[in-house]
Amino acid sequence: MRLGLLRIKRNRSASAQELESVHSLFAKFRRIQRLNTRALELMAEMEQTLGGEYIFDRSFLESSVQELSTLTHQVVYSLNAMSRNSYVDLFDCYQNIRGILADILGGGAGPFATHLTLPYSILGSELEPLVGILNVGLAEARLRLDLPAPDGFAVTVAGCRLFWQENGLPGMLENDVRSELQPVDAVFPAALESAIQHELESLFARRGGPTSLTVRVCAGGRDDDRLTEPKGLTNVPPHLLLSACKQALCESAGQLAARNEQVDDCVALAVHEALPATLFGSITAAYSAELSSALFRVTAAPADAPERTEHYLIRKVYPFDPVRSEVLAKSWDKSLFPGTLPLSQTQKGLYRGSALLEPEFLKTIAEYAVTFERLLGCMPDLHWARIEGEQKPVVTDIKPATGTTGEVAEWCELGQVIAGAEVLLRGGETAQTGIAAGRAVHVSEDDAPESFPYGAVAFARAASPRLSPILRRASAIVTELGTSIGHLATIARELRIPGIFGVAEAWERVPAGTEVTVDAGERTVYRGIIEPLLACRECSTELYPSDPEYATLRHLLRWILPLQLIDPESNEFSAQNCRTYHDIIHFAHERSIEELLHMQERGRGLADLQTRKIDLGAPLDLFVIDIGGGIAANAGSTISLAEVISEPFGAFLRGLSDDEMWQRGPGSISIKDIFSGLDRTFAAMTNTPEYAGRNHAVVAENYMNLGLRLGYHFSVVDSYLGDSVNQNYIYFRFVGGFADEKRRRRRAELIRAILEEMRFKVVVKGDLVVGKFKIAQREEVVSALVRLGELTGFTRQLDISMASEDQVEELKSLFRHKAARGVSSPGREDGRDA
Amino acid sequence: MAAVTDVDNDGARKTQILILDDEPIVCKRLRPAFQKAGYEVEAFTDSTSAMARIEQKRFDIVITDLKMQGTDGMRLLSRTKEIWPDTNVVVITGFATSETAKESFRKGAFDFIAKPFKLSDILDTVRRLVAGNSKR
Repeated sequence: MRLGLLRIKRNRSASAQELESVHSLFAKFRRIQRLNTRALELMAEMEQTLGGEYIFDRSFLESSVQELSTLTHQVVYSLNAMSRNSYVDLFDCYQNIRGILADILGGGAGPFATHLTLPYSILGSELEPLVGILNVGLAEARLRLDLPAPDGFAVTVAGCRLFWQENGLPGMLENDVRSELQPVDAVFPAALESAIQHELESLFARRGGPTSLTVRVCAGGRDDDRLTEPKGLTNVPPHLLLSACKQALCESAGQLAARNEQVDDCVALAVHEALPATLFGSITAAYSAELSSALFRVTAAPADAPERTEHYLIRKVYPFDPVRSEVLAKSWDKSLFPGTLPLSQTQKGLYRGSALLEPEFLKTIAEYAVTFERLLGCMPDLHWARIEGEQKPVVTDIKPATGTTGEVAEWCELGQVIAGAEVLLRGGETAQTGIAAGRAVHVSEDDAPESFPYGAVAFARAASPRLSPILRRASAIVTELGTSIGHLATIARELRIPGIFGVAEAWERVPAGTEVTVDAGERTVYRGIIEPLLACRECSTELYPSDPEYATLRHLLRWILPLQLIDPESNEFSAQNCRTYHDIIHFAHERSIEELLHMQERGRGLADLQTRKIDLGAPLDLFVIDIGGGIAANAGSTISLAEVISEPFGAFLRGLSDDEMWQRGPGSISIKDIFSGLDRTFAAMTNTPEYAGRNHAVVAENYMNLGLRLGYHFSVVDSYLGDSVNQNYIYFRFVGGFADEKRRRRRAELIRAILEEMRFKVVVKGDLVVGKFKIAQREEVVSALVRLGELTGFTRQLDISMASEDQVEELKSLFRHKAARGVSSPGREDGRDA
Repeated sequence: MAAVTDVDNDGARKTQILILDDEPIVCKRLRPAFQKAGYEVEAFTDSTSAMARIEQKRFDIVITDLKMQGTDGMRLLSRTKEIWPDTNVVVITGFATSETAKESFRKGAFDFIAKPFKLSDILDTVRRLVAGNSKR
């Protein structure tokens, strides 16, 4: 007796501990959700600040990074607490990123500072101090702006510094300012040679084979006037690349020596594929006092006769109408460039003429310049080349232009101009500050991007992400619906295209074709092209890429915001592959849900917990563990559906308890069907099935975790349902069956087909089906849970009867029919019970 | 004391604003914003120079950061109100707490704005100030 009492007492204590364990698991899960939500809000705030609407200073950057670091650390800690330290590696990732952010805030150049070479695929404007504006310009053209530019890599300032050090510089210059390092005497550091070789192999792999190269010197940072390009370093065969690099570096050292300047940390090299140019030229800003208008000046010259340069003046606003040209006379029978004579006929049947550049080509060059002007925040000095066989110009060099773009009006004059301008729209939210002008074009998601006139101002009803291709061609965007934190706003900030979102009746108040000027910082659209307002762009209130705070913020966000670990099913989805804080919190979110899912499979002593049975009216026993607000407080040991308060659980049960779903038809299953479909020996059938055990549901007000063990198969449904769309999910897992492998597979295929119709993302491996439903509104999740409950009833023991492939489609239709009938039943969708 | 006036196209006295923030980016962006709105602006990144200027000239509005080297914003606020009681002071700070906000208002600040703040919000604050004062 005494021993029996002790045993009862011990069991109760163990039961209390297990319940505490389940509570604790769920509490940690909720904590991770709260931390992640705050972290994502903070990331969005930081990203939104890039748009220039907010005035911020370094203390904002420091406090934001500090708070984000704390949140991320707590997420990592909580995940490890949930999983018995299964993700200790995540601490290392976190520490690594935290160190990088601290370095950037302290003025450091980040983890790439010690790299000797960097490919264009990873360059961004924040790395300009390491590689120079030329390399960054070519990389941004290719990656961010999708413009033709040569592929290649940078030899960084660190790489060049290593070269100087290996060759005794700057000491050599201190002793003899006039001495020059000769290429033949220069030693190439082994580490640098190896790094260059590696980049070269990668470049050739991307290009599909070796190619000749161009080597150019560029200055790190924005001080680009110090060095001129050494001659003769183009069309370099791969085996002579190192010699070419030596020559370039020695010549630049010589130039600096000639100017009595130190060799220092401001030199990098650009190494890229050589371009067989037939023409080359440039485009810069100009201003016509006569026309009171900003213009572009375009130059063009044949590659084999650079002295025969032509000049074109065109308007700076789309459609970039020509103003004046200086075209050199040419012989009618001499090629302008391969395949083109002055008397070649155009598509319209006219003779082409002897100008080197035709109007379409000129316009494209101007489009490039406008695009770069937005990105750089100032007018660029852009160089281009025409490549044989290519219709579009290729960007070959880009740097900020020096000098003014025109007369800037006095502030009081500008005030008068603005006061006199007609305001067409005012209000909304600024997604990206800036001033732009053009013709208004009404756009919708289905419009072909090519049909959008380059440089026009896009007016859209909604800020749909599908407008991104059109946004690339627009000078500004205005939407009626949408906020400054949506995806399209992020694209506008990435491309620095002025944007105002959420302006009511924008379409009605600005008819298509109206010329407008958009001042996104002021959230105002004026009628007409207001030149004085456009002229003050470079001295306005915007946040510019040249501002150190902008560069620091972009650099920080590079290690905070990008989400690279996207697919939880992929082998790459691991703690070691987390590269940003966003990766870490996303990884933790997915893994924390996995931990809850496995609660059923690992048992965690659920069978010992005090549970209540639920009266379903369906042919299965189900026991409920309430961890907070899932069941009515006054419910007894047997609870009815009406006493279920947990919203996700209630929805699932409504579907599960549908009698119709448990009775399938058509036809009947014969004994022969059953025995011919079995995959188990008699002995196996008489043993305890592997998924035997009680069916448990762990529930809370917004949460359910249900394990259904129906003999030979096991399914888990885990769902969270709250107010935040981003946190809502359903995870469904189903495995096993009584029948042979083919029939079990058919059932798995049936479940997959039905789940995919319900917008689940499904993976099937044999008879294992895993379905995920995420980021959905509350109502969508409720509806999906009801269907899932119905599906659970419908597919019970279904594998036995699935004798042929045709039955997959038949049963899918039958389920659809039964589920549709259920929708028409009053009270099913809104209330708790019909 | 001369009343605060709004911008006048006939060349009447413009509203005079002094901006003080030790972060150059703040002055760089605020100054053209207020100039575009038609105000006269002097911007400082060093509190000693700003204080010396305030001793010399009355500004209609002073916009000041709080935490700076040298004379901090709270002292500047007190001293400005001491010399020019009618000058309106707006405090901007990246270290906003309820204590600093209360202290600022006790010392006579017109408004207390936490960084980061929208450019349009501070412009609205100044417009309200100017409009309110012009009604007196």
